[in-house]
Amino acid sequence: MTQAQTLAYERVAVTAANFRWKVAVIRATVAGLVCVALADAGSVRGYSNAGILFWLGLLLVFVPTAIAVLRPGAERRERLQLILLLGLALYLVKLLGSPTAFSFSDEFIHLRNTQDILRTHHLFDANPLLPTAAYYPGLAAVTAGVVDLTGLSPFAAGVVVVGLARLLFSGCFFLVAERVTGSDRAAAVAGLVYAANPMFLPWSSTFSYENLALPLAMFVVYWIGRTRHQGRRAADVLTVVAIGAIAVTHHVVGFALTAVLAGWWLAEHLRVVPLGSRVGRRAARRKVGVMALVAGAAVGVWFFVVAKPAPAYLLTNNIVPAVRQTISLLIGQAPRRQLYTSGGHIAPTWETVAGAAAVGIPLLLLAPALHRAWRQPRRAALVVSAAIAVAFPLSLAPRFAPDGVAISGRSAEYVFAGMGCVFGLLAVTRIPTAATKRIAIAVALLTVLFVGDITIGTAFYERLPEKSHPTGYPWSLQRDVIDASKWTRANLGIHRRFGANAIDAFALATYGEQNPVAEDDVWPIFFSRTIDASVVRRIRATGVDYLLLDWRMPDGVPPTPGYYFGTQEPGAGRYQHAFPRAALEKFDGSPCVASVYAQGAVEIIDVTRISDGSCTPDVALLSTRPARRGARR
Amino acid sequence: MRRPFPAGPAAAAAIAAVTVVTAFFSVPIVVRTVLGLLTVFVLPGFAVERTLHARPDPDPDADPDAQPFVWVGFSLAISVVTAVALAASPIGISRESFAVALGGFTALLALYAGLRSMLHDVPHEVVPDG
Repeated sequence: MTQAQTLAYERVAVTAANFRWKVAVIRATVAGLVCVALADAGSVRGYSNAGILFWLGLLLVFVPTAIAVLRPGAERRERLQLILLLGLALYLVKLLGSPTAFSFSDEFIHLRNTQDILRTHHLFDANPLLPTAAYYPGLAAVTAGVVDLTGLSPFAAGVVVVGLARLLFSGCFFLVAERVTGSDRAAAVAGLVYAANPMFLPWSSTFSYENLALPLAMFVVYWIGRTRHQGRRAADVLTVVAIGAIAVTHHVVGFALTAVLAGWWLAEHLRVVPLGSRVGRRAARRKVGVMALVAGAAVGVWFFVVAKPAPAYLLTNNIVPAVRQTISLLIGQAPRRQLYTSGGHIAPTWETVAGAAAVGIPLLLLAPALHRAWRQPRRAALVVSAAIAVAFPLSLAPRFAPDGVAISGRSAEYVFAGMGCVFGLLAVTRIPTAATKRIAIAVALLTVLFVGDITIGTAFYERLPEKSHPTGYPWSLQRDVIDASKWTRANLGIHRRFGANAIDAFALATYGEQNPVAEDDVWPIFFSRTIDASVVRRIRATGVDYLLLDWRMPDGVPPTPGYYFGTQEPGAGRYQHAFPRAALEKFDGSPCVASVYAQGAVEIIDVTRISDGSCTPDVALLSTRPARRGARR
Repeated sequence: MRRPFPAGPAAAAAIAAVTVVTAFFSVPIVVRTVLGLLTVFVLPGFAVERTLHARPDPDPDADPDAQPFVWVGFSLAISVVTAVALAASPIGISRESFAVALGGFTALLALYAGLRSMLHDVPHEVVPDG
C-alpha cells in the first residue's frame, strides 16, 4: 500500500468517525428537546418533578456537544456545525416553553411596536409599554416587513427573525473567536462558554431588539476582520449599511460595537499586527478606526437626536440608579439584595451552590486565562477580548443591588464574549487533543458553568411554564386576561387609556392594542382603600378611561421582579403580605364607576365619568358602604 | 471567450422578481411564504456576496463555511435598513412597497453580479510549448 493510499484510508476513517459523532450528538440533542417538551407539558399540568426532566434535557443538549467539540480528531466544520446546533437547540428550549405566543415581558413591547407599524405603515407610534422602544424600530420594522411579505403571523415572523439571528450570532462568534485565538478548537470552547452565560438560554432567545442587534454586531466584527485589508470599497459600503441597521435597532449594542472597534484600533496601535506590508497594515488599521467613527457617529446621532426618550431611559432610569445603589452597597449604606429568593419562593440549596460555582470557576480561571492571552504574540483582537473579560468581576457587584441586577445580568451577553475567547485559548493550551482526562475535566467545568448560570439567569420557578391554574398571584399572563384584552379591542376600540397591573398591561397593549398608563403613575389608584380625593386626582391626572381589576392580586405576593405595578409602589421587592382585597373592593357601588366586563378573575371598570370630571364620588358615603364582593371568587 | 451567465445570480434575480410580481396578486400562502422568506433572509446577502465575488482577483479570505453567514448577515442588515427607510418615508411599509424595494434591489444586484461575472474573460489556459 502506498503512502498516499494509507493517508486516504486514514482520512476516510476519520471522516466516518466524525460523522458517527455528529449523528450521536444530534440524537442526544433531539432526546434532550423531547425531555424539555415533556417537562413543559408536565409543568403546565402541575407536576412538581417536571424540573428533573428539564435539567436532564438540558444536559443531553449541552454535554455531548461539549465532548464532541473538544475531542481529538474533530474537524473545523464539525465544530462549527455543532456550535450552531447548540445555539439552535437552546433557542428551541425557549420556544418549547411557549410555542404559540410570546410570553416574555420584552416580547410584548416589541410585538406592540410591530403591530403599530403593521397598522400605520410608519414609525414612531407611541409605545405605552416602553416609549424608547418605538425609536429603535429595526426589529419591529423588519418583522412587519416579513409579515407583509410572507403572510405569517407576527409571532411566527418574530420567531423566524430571532431564530436566524441566533444562528448568525453562533456562527459569527465562532468565526470571530477563531480569528482571535487562531484555533477552531478554542473557538468551539468559546462558543460553549458563551452558551453558558446566564442570559443565553431564556433572554437571548426572546423577541427583543437586542437579540437582533447583537448578532448583526458580531457579524460586522467578523466582516471587518475578514475584509479590512482587501481594499474593496463595496465591502466598506456594506459594512456601513450593517452598522446603520444596528444603530436603528438597539442603543447599547451600538455603543458596545463602537467601543469594541475603537478598542481594536487602539490595540493595533500598541501591538504589531502581522498583516502583509507596512502600508497594508496601516490601511487595515485605519479601516477599523474609520468604522469605529462611523459606528460612533451613527449610534450617537440616532441616540441623541432621533430617539429622544432613550438618554433618559438608559441613563436616568437604568444606569445611574444601578451605579448609585451599587456604590451605596459597597460602602455599606444600602442593604444587600437576597439572592435566590423572590416573591416568597426560595430556590433549592443545590441551585445556590451551582450558582456560586458558576461564578467561582471563571473567577479562578480568569487570571491564568488573561496571562495566557497576554503572552500570545501580536494579536490585537485578543487584547480587546481580554479587556472585555476583565469586566467580569466588575459586572458581578451590581447583582447585589436591587436596581443593579438587570444591568449585571445583561452585561453577561457582552462580557462572556471576551471570556469565551480567553478561556478558549487557555483550554487549547492546557488540554492537548489526546488528554482524555483533561477533556473530561474541561467538560465537567463547562457543564457546571452552564447549569449554574442558568440558575443565576432565571428564577427557578420561571424556567418552565406556569401551571394552568396557578395558586397565588401568577407570574405569567393568564388566558382570561388575554380574552378580556381581545374583548376590549372588539368592544371599546383601540388606544383607550387603561390602568392595570404590570403583567396584565402587556396583554392590554398587544392583544387589546390599548394604551396602559405607566404603572408607576397608576399604582396609587389601586392601592388606596377608598376612592378618596387622591384617587380621583390621580384618575384625572393620568386620564385613564378604564381600570382592569385582577382579583388574583389579593391571592399572593408578586414573584420576580417583586411588584404588582412598578418599582415605586409601597412594598416593591419586599412584600410580606398580598395586595389588600379592600383596595379592589373600593370601586363597588360607586355611582361614578361602571363595570363593563367581568369574567373569571378579571373585571374591567369604566371610570371615564371620574376622569372627565362629570362625576365626583362621594368619599364619605363610599367609605361607610359594606363591600359586596367578599365571596367573588 | 466569455463565461455563461452564472446560475446562482440568475436564480436569485428570478426569485426576487417573482416576489415583486406576486406581491400585487393573490397567490397561495405557501408560495408567498417561501418567496418572502428567501427574499428577506437569503437573497439580498447572496446577491451582495456574488457582486463582491464577481471580480478577477479572488477573495483571499473566502471561506465556504462562512458563506451562509455572509448571506444571512447582509440580508438581515439590508432588510432592516430597507424596512426602516420605507416606514420612515411617506411611502410607508406595506407588502407592495417592501417587495418592490427589497426584491427590486436584489434582482438588480443579482443581474449586475451575473453580468459582471460573465463579462470577465476566463483566463486563458497556458499550454506549455513542446
